[in-house]
Order: sequence, then C-alpha cells, then structure tokens
Amino acid sequence: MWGIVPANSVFLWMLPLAGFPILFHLFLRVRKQVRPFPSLMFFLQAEPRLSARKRIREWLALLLRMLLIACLLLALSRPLWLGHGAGGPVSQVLLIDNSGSMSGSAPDGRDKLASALDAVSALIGDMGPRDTLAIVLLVDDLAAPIPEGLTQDKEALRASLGRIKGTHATGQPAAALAHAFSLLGTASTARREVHIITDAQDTEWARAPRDFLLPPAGTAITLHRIKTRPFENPNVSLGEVELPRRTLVAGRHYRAMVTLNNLSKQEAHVRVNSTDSGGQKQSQAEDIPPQNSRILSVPFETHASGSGWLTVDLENDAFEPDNHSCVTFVCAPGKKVLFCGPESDFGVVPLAVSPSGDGTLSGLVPVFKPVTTPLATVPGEAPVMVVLKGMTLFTQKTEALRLKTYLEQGGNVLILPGVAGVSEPQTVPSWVRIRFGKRVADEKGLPLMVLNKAEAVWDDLRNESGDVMLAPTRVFKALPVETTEEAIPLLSLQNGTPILARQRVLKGSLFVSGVDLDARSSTLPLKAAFVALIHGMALSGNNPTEGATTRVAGQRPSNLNDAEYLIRAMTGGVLEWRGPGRKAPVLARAGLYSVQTSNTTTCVAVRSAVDEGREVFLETDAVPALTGLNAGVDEYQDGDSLVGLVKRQRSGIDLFLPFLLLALLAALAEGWIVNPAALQIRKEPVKP
Amino acid sequence: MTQGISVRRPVHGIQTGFHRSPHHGASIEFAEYRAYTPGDPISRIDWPVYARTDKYLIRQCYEETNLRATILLDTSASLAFRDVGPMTKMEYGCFLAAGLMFMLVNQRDTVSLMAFDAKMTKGFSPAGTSEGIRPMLEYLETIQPAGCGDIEAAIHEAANRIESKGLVVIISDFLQHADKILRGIRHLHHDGHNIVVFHVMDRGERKLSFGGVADLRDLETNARLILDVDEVREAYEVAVARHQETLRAVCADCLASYHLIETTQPVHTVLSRLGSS
Repeated sequence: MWGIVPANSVFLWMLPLAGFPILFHLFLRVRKQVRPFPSLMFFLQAEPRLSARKRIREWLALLLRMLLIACLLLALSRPLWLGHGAGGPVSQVLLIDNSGSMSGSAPDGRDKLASALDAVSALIGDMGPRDTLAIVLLVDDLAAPIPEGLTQDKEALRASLGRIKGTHATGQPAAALAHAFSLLGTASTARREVHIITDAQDTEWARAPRDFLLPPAGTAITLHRIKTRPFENPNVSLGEVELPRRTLVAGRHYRAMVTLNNLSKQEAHVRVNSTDSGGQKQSQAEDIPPQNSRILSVPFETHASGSGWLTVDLENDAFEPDNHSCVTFVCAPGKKVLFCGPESDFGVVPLAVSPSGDGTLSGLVPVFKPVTTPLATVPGEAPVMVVLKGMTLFTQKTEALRLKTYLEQGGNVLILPGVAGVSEPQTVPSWVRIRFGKRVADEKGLPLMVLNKAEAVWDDLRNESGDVMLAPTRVFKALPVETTEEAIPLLSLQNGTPILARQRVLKGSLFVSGVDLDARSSTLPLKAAFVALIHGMALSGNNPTEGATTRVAGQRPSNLNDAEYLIRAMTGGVLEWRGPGRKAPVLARAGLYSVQTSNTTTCVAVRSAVDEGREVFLETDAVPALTGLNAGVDEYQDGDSLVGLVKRQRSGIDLFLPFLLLALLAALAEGWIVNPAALQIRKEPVKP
Repeated sequence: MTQGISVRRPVHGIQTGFHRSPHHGASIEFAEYRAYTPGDPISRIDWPVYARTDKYLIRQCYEETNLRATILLDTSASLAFRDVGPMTKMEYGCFLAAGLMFMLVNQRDTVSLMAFDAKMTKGFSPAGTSEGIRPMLEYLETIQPAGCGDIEAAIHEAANRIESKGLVVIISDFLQHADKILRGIRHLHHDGHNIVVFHVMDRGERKLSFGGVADLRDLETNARLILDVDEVREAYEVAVARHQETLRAVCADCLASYHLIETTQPVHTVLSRLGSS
C-alpha cells in the first residue's frame, strides 16, 4: 500500500478550519472611511501599482495563513508517508479470520484458512530480531492455543499455526480488533501494524462497529483479502432443530423438525444424518430445489429420563461448516394422568392415555381417585393432567384454588361433560372462561371440524401442508361449550359451535370438552387420531428445551456466573476448559458440551452459524467493519508478495516534522508579507 | 519703519506714488544725464556740470507712481477643504485678499479683485480708497467655493484683461499640473507684471493626518479612490513636496514671489512678512 496514512485522523476532520482566514477576511474586514479630499492628483502620481500590489499581498497573506493552519493540522495528524524511508522495530498483530467461511476454497483450490496461515507464516519468517508479533483469531478457539501477547519467539508462533483449524462460527471483528489494539497499546515501538487476513465475508465485515475503535497512535491497519472460489456444488445450510412443543417422556419416539436451506442455484441432493442421545442413528436423503428451503422431520427416541440430545448433520454438499445442528432437551420420566372418579366415567380416555394401563408404551400412567380431593391424594410428583367429569369440583373453593395453582404451575386439566341430567353449577370461578351450553343431540350425528390447526395439540396430527389428519367424525350428543376471547376453540360443529376448547392459565392449559369421549356420544374415540389428541392435551404446555441450552457457534454458554465451571466437549475433538463462568470461552464448533459446576451438570448444544455459507464477500476497498479506522485493503496473492508489500509499507516517512517546518515557513512568510518594514534591517546613521 | 508692498519691476501708475515708473519725471532719484536740446527749459540745465565740463547737460530723475494691483482669487471647490487648520482654504484666501487690499489702499495704490475657477467668475474695477474696495470686501464674504479649477486658463484670461503693468497677486491652492501653471505665470511675466503667488494649503494636505484604508473623494471632480493611506503616505508627501518645489522654481524664473502658506498661520503674520520683505 502506498500513500499517506495519518495516525490521528481526527485532526484531518478539522482541516476545514483552514478556511477561517478567508471567512475572517470577508466578514471582519476593516470598514473604509469616506474622506473628501481637495485633489487625488498626488495619490495618482504616487504609484498606481501600489494598490494592486497591496491586494496581491493581502491574498498572499491569506493563503499563507490558510497554509499555516493546514500544515499545523496535518502535522498534528502525524501523517506517515508509506513507501519512502526506513523504519525501526515493528510491533505487529496478525488477525486471522478462522470463521466458518474460511473453510471455503481459494482460487488455487486450497481452503482459504490454509492460505491465511501461509501468509502468517511468511510474515513470521520476515520478523526482524527486534520485532514483536502476536496472533489474534477472529473466533477464539480453545482448541488452538496461541502465545499470549506480543512475542519474538518465532518457533512458538509457528507451532501455534499448526493448531489453528477452521471453525463453524461467525467472527466478531470489533472484539478481535479491540484485542489487537490493546496488545499494540502495550508495545514500546514507534511503528505498529495490524494485518487482517480474511476473505472479507459480508456476514462479518459488512456491519459497522457499534462504537468506534481507537487504535494506538501510528498504527497501520491493512486488510489482506483472500479471494474465494465459488462453490462448484450446491451448498445447503442446516437450521435450528425444533423439538415437539410438549413434555418429552422417556421411552417414546418423537420427530424433530429441521430446516434445510439450499443457497445455491442448483438442486441439492443431500443426506441428513441424525444421532440421538441413545446412540440411535438415522439417515435420510433429501432433494432441495435451488434457492429453496425444506423442513425435514427427523425421528428420535427418548431412551431415559434426564438430559437428552439430538445431533443432525448434513453431507453431500459443497460447504461443511454450516452442516451441523443439534439440540438438547430434558426428558421426563413416566407421568401420571389423574382421573377424578371411577374409570367407567371416562369412556375410552384412560385407554387412550395408556393402552397397556401401566405406561409401558405411552409413558403415561392413569390414576383414579375419588372426586372429592383429587390433587391432595396423589402421592409423589404432580400428575401431568387431571381429568374431571363436570365442573362440580370448581364449586369447592379450596379445590378450585388448588386446581388453579396446579394449572399455573404447568399442569393440564381436561373437563368432560357432567353426569347426564345434572345441570352445570352456576358458581364456577370467574377465571374459568369456558362454560357448558345447552345440550344438543342428533341420532345421525353432527359432523365435527378442526379449528386453530396451528395449536400444539394438533402437532402430531398435522401433515406437511399444515392440515390436521382427522378422519370425518360425528357427534351424537354433546354440551357445546361457550367461550370467551381468552379461550381457543379446537373442535366445533359445522355451524361453528365449539365442542372442544382450550384456555391458557399461565403455564398450564384447561381443556373443556362438550362431548363425552365414548362411542355413544361421538365417533371421535374410534379414530386413530384420538390417542394423539389425548396425548397432545396431556403433554402440552411444557418446553422440552427448558433447562437445556442451545447456542450458535461463536457464542459463549449463557447464564454463567462467577462460579468455577468445567466445560467439556461431549462430541468431536477433546476440549476442556476450567475457570470462572464470566470468562468462559466462545464455543467455536458445533457439537455438544457439558457445563459442570460443583453440584450441577448441564448440556449445551452448539449448532453451526448458517450465514457462514453465504457467498457474499466485500469486493471494494470500503470495509464497514473498519469504519473510523484508517485501514488499507490489499488483495492477497501469496506470502512473498505480502512480505514485499509489508516491507514497502514499513519504509514510510513520518511527515510530522516537514509539515511543522512548512507551517513555520508559512508563518515567517506571512509576517514578512504583512509587515515587510518590521523585518528590514534598519541602517544606522553615519556619524560625522 | 513703514511697511508696504513693493515691486521689483517698474509699473504704470496713474498718479504719483511710491513705486518706480518706467518713465522719467520729478523725483529725487537720479536716472541719467542727456544733452540739452533747443526747447528744453533752461532751468533744467545742470549748471555745476556746465562749469566743470563746459557742456549743457540736463539731469533726469525716475518718475514714481502708484501701483495697480490685481488679486486673482481661486474659488474652485478644492478650496473648501479643511483638515488641520482653523478655517477652510477659501476663508483663509479671502482674509488674505482683504488684508492685501487694505495694505495696498493704505499706500495709495489701487487694487482690483478677480475670482476664478476654470475661468473668471467675477471681476471688479480697481479702487484706491477704503470706500472703493467695499464691494470687493462684501463679495469676499459671500464666496462659496465651487467648480473645477483651471488655473492656467484663468491666468490667461486675467492677463488679457489687465491693461497696464502692475502687480498680480495669485491666491490659490494650485492643484493643477505644474507645467500648466507655469504657462500661466509666464504669460503674466511676459506682460511685464510683478507677480506674487500665495500657495494656500491645509497642513493636512502636506502631511496626511489619517491612516488606514480610506475612500477618498475628489472635491472638484467627485472622483473616488480607495487605498491604504499608510501605504502611499510617503509617496504622496514626496509628490506634494515636488509640486511645491516646481512651483517655487517656476516663480523664481518669472521673478515672481512665491509664498507657501498653511492655513494655520495667522493672516497678519503673512502680510507683515510680505510688507517687510
């Protein structure tokens, strides 16, 4: 890079101040006094050129004043004329972009990170005996320890290069530059350099920093841009893994949703591999149209209660770092469903809850208790759902309050119509927004239809197009429910009268069914979807990822405090870190990590940064992430040309003194022009 | 010691006075001897000379006559200037003219007044008494300086009007090129007049009393000149001094008496000096 680089560019912004003499001249000029005079003949005889000369002198003085101010400002900006002169020892920080995009190919076919490491190796080799150098990674990588601070140890620096590998993360240029500047701030050398070796992907470099960074005085910043070879094959990125929106119970099979984005202009034929916490592997092929996305269902099994995880990986595409995703969750042990009343009152619902009766297949165990104080009589963990016959229990204040508390803590309540002929009580608490209406009956049966298909209750019954797969169903007799705005109808008659509705009560849900779930009242229990509907109601309302953490590569584990933590990689390479939580490192690669304290262990899932596969790179010399910094941009060719360029840059001249001298000359010349008589040497009179 | 205005060259007067006439007449100042010619009165023969030389010679003396003075007073607009002095140049010129008139009348000379700018604007007949100069004095009180001056033209015109050799007093600020003024004065000299020049100036004209950037307006032409006075001060004063020296030299050539007067000088002092010179 050639040209003039200022160290304190803030003074350059003040250069318009050099125009002040002109403003003063124009606005503050001396007013002329009008004087009548007998004759102008003697003035005209005097020297007609004097006025013109005076005017020229005035303008010359103005120009010299402007030059004086401009030179002073330029001198204060400490300009460095690159390419002319010789320098002393140099402190340099090499900022290596090890983000996911650097795993892409350079024009020579090698990956860009390898080219970057070659460049760094060349610069290390070019170090003088008094030079110091530090390496900073755009993405902190625990797996790649590098020497701390500025060092002269070439061997240690070279050894660290071998440990630097590509990551799956997006870098943070502002943080890395701040680190680089802090290192250079400790340097005692006059010349300081920052060399950024990157592919200038816009994901990282197109965003202007939130706060302007202030480099140490005299720091020359150069971004060496490595060109990128376009992908030959389509690239597909793997999005977040979405788990079912319900409590996951141990010993059951589920399906997670994962989004595949084909960013290229060709159809992609990829294979999606998944592994669950039980070690069970699945693989499926998928074709994705160009520049399109596809949501894929990935089966997995919850083998045991406690923490579980699911990893999903993609293969057969052009770019690997955005092919990894995973999720962790908390799996509940077998859950109880409390039926308030004898089994015969609830039709086929107990059978739908657990066909085997002991929760072997469903993970749900039906428990039957008397109507009076159901919640108080269930030992151990609270049931996942309470099934009531009618709203009689709500008339008891103590039980109503207990049910409300149970709902607010995440429990679910299903209310079926009361005993035939018994009218519903009028003393139902006001927080219950669903009421039973007048009874309807039809021997031929009234058809049912599904409402609010996006509700979590329908998750297991929804097909790819979003329709709920519920076969035609009829109702013979029912108590239609009356709802308010707070309640959401799920099933209704053809005329829109709700039959099944849900009311959210903090974390839990209150379901009210206007139809008895037996074959005499409706054909619904005869449908295969009935079991899924009952399970959807029983397990709804809980987030399986609650208590587990999923992060994107390049982020730190969340919710860590000052306690001592041990972070270990559960998949992939060996990685172990121990220290206070506030200093926890970023997790650079996708995978599963365990975060342990003295008494707890949590699982952190890290997925790839999906934007790293975008083929958008900054082509111009304007790099928004370097806004406010006087940085040059250079196209990286190879190590030798890089070293040559750096040598040229280092042979720069500090123009502070020349500009200062020029300012002094301008001041002297201005003084001479404005007041020539004062500078003339007065002749001593000759003594007789 | 009596003071009065005297002249160097003979003048044509109309009555006996104190000034030498080009003609011979009765006076005590011997002029020459000439041979007796028949017809001359015998009483005029210088008998002591006949006793020594045996020749009839007649003794001749100079005639003494009075002076006919003409005051040429410049009334151009530039005379309205006043800077340092207590009065304008015009006022000063009027006082000076009036004083001269009194002096001349008191020594039984006659005086007339001619006012001019680019040409004669007013002329009075000669008067030899105090009562006779009253109209001129009254006119002096009413003069308002105006118009562009042309001294040369005015002098030529005056020279043509003045019939007999006498005294011509010019009171002006002489703000015209010296060569032109020279031609006018030579005309008067050629006509045989005695010439007295009063160059009236304000001290502020000779030494500029102000500085800085000034927008100067010519009182006569209303021309405008913007300049830094400090820058041209020295050159200006040199030009003024050169002009004065040129006028002084011109006057010396024409046997004219040149008087540079600043308006700060009392008029009676000037007249007194003139009378004793």
